[in-house]
Amino acid sequence: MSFAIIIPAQEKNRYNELGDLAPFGNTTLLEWKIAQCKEFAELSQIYISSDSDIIKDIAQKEEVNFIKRKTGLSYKDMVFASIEGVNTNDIILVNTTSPFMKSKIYKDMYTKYQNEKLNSLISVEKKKEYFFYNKDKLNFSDNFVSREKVEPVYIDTNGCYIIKKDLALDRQNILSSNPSFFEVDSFAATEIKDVKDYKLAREMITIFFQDDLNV
Amino acid sequence: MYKYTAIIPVRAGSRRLKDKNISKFGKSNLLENKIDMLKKVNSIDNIIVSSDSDKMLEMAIKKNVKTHKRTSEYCDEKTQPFGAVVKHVCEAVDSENIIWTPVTAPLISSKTYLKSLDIYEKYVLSDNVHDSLMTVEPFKRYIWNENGPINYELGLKHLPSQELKELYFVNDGILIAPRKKMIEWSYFHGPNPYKMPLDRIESTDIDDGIDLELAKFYYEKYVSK
Repeated sequence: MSFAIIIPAQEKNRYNELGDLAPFGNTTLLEWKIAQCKEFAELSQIYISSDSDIIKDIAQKEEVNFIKRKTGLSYKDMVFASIEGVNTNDIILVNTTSPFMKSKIYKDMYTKYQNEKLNSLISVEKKKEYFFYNKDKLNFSDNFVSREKVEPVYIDTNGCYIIKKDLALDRQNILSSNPSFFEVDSFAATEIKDVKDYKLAREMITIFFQDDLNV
Repeated sequence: MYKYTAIIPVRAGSRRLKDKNISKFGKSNLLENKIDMLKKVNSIDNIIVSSDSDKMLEMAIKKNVKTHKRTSEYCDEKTQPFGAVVKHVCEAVDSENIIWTPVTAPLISSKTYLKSLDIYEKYVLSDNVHDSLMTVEPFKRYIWNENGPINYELGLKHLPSQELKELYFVNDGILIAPRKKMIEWSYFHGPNPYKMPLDRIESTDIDDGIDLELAKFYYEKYVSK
């Protein structure tokens, strides 16, 4: 399989002074994500992208690749510097901030991407809810309809992006203009965006290990 | 006439989760949990369970709240449109104001109900700034529909999520309006509702098994203690 998994990682970020090295389960967010990727890909296919020497040591310990990036790059520039650093047809970008995106989801996503010969696939949570945006109704009118009939809205979960490397570099974007969607459930869609999310996600780990969820 | 009647709509059928409305929850089930919570709110002077299920109506009777038996045409989600269901249920109630509050939002506290009534009194009944109240969950994430991104642009104009404008979705936790208006609109909020934000935990809305597990988790962790 000609793909590379890229995991961007930072020692510090906005929501936690330990960044992607914040404790999670009995490890860290970064190592948690590496473990999920190892269940899906060969060690040689996994790349950690960071400016941190501590993270470099973790990559070495985990026997995965490390892409040293310049300090101070924007997220976007960092992603494209990382993509340029790998030599595969397809890029799978995953984030440590989506800890409940398990390996099976990545595997199913890549299978769909290949089978349907897609250029770009992203993980989304489909919501059939009544949305308001800009002080106005977003997906319904005054002629109210039941929730089942409202136009669905897809939330980019920031959990996984798959794209052709050349297309990503051409567009300088990790999405094509018309990406395909891969729907994940509300649990897998969990994204850590602040300290509260982080604390909640840590406590939700017990649910992650329940295999008998009625879904 | 009652000032505030809380209506708990429950039906026997549930497509994605069997017997969802009476799923085990805490020390009882979702329906009993909701009745118990509403009983703690002194401002609510009437509670009615509206259902086609004799089993659920019996549970309501045992909890000493009123019942409204709905015929199957108002519960099968096919025969009657949703608006007709709201109108039908509201017409059966003798109350100035209706609080429409499904059991699928089991983590809303009595304190939040009280707060919602205070806000409703001020902005809907006194100041007439809004015509109804509904609870929402605010969030900032990148969203799409079938036509493309809705709240951001791809390429150079892409914004960090923190800079996105706030989005809201209606979480179906609490909906309050004058009874006559609900009948007129055939709906549980009007065109100009007050959007009362709830945090993620209170916003939990149970649709499927995953949602139920998450709700149980939140309940054990944050509510029951």
